[in-house]
Amino acid sequence: MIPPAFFTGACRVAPTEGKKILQAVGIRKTYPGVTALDNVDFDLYEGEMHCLVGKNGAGKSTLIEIIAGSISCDKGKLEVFGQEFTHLTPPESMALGIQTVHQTNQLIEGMTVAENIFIGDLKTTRANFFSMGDCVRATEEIFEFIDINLDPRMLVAKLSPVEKKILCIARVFSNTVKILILDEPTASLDKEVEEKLFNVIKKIKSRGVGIIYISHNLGEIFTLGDRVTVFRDGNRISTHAIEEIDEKQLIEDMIGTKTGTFLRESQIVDNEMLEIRNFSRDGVVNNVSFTVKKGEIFGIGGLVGSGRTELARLIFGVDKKDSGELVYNGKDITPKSPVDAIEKGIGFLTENRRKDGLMVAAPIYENVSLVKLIKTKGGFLKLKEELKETEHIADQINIATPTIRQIVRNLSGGNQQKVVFAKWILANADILILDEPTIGIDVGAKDEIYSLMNELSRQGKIIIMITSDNPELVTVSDRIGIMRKGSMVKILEGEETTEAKVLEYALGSQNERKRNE
Amino acid sequence: MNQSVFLIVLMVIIGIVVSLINPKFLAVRNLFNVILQVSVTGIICAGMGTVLVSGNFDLTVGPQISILGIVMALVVINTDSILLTTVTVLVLGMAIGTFNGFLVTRIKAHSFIVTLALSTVYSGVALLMSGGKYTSLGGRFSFFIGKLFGIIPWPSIVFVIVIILLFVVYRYTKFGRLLFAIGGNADAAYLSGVKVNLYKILAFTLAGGVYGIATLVLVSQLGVVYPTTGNTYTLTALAAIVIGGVALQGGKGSALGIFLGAIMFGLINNSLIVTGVNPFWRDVALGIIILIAVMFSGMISKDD
Repeated sequence: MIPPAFFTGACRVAPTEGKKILQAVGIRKTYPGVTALDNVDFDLYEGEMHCLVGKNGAGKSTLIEIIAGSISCDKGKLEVFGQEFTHLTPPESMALGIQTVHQTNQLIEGMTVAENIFIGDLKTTRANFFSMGDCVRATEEIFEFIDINLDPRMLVAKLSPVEKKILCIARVFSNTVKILILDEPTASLDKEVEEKLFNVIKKIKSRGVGIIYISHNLGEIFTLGDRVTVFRDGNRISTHAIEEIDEKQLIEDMIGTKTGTFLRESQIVDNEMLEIRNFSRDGVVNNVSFTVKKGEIFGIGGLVGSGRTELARLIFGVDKKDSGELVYNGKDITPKSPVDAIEKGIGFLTENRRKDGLMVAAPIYENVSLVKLIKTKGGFLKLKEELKETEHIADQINIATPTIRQIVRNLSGGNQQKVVFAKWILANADILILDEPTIGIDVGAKDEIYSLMNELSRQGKIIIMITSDNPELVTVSDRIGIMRKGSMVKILEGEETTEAKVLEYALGSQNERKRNE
Repeated sequence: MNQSVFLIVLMVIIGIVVSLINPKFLAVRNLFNVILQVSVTGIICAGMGTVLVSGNFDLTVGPQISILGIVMALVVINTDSILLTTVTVLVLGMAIGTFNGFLVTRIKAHSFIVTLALSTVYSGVALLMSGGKYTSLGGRFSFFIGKLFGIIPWPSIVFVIVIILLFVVYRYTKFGRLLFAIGGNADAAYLSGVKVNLYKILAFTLAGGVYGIATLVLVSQLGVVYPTTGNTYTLTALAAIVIGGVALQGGKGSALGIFLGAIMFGLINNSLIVTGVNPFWRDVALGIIILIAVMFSGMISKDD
């Protein structure tokens, strides 16, 4: 028999009295060309939930990674339970009682709940054999401590998504927990089941644990949080007690005011249009319909994972769809495959140019001419013509390179993106689906890409642009469709195309949810 | 600097060192010997390299050549027709290649393992077809033994012609360009409208035809077919291709590189014979050359 004291180690939460347990002072972190965090302060009290909000790339993740010790800051210090640190390593951070639950579940599906909890520290018998019984008992103790009702012997594969998330949280309690970092725990969950998770989180709070909570869902921040801090472009913009602030103010803090130099000039042809009708794929895209006119740029906004890329892939015929028709000027042009889509004049610029947009080891001209080449008849290449055409386009859209024989890998991100654009321009596609057209490129190159899109739409192309960059979305688009959890929840037009509106519908604010109910 | 330049420099250095030890190395007859020795391997490399460029492995080569050799012997003995034998071997080669390609694109597993399994099947088939016994051609189909103008061996001529054709395919045809595109990034090629699976199969078809040519040359030289005639060629050819700078993940390589990679094999072999080194050192030297060549191509593509 193993003495009862053995198990109590499983769930220690030190009770300290309502005082400050974590303080970060003047934290600065830079990467080549980017300041991820600039002189940021942050603090956390015991038994408190302090929420972090901000757009993608605002610096939230960088801060929690510094606190968890997985990256180190350039300047500033951390004070944890009165102890001062300039750098923490992950084991040091965990030993201090700082535990992180990541956005993605890192669970082993083929093992039981109990085994998953103790995978790093499997209970053994005195003869060093694995002891399932001890694992189960220790697991039950954790579950009791934070009010979880799960069978420790159940296979993880059989759990529902919310149960898996709860298990991920329970798992960190096999170590001492004083500060718990939750990174978007509800990101992949349905609204109806979130309550279950919230109950567990409330219980943990009541045990005196300080919680740092990252979420894009403002609704749950107002339900669960005590204080909220807004980050923007690596700066801490504001910290408020939750009672002192409303959703509108929070969104304003997240957006700030930003002035771009780009000015969109639309020349929309009213009587020619592309209709996207009832596109669906079970669990991914839910009955999406909209129309785009000739010469129009239709923006699609929404959070990462809201089904935007999946929708684009359905339209282009890459993935199998349950339903959906593409109609251009009354003619059905629904593609059966990418080959078919290209024959029907559609182009698709994917969000990850290195993964599925470019052959990086090949020269510029081979990349640019690929689509055109497939369309050309005859078995032999017309090299001279090919080089001339490519050269012409490279000049036109300003690809900065001494020669179009340059290997694509050696170009900057912005120029690589222009190579992908050049491919679809040369292919003479009428309908362009652009997925994150300016991802990972610098501001100057962004403006050039916007001008290029302006020019293309003026030539009468139909452009559908997916982007997570909200300033870009409202500056470049004529109309904006907002996706949330696979559905297009709103199409913004005219006066409504503001960042605030985009965020409101992308996040699914309380008001809007009430309207839906 | 690319792999081909590197190989040429390496060859010149080896050539100078060896000719200092034994000036006979530079005799025209000896230099032709170098090419002759690797002609069959070189032809095979052209086929296998093409599949590799498109992003797939083809480990069926050896046993496939054994099967083609057995069929070749059967046809030539029974019909005594050079034309019929040639056509049969080439068509059968392409058919087997197409079948390989079809399976590789259908089975959701790495081509390495699919073709490894097929190669095992083909070894067995070769044994079954031959009953485990060798077959003599009885002096038929023997013209590849001869030499043009009494000096240039016919197999070397075939080898060079195959390489020139390969150069044309890689450099000047749509087919070649698309193979490189697929090998370079199959996802990007697919989303750019390339019929990826079709071209992957066609690469295997072409390779099968090339193996047919290799079989004709090899069996003609040997005058006899064993059920294991081709077996050693799989790994030799793979090594030569890699020395020649074809990337294992596909999308990179050249006809010249493949040519030089094969020649390198013959050069090392010949150098050791000419300098009178214990022939058992041969494999050690070859292995080291493979390592050096791979290290070099790793260095020039470091920024991947």
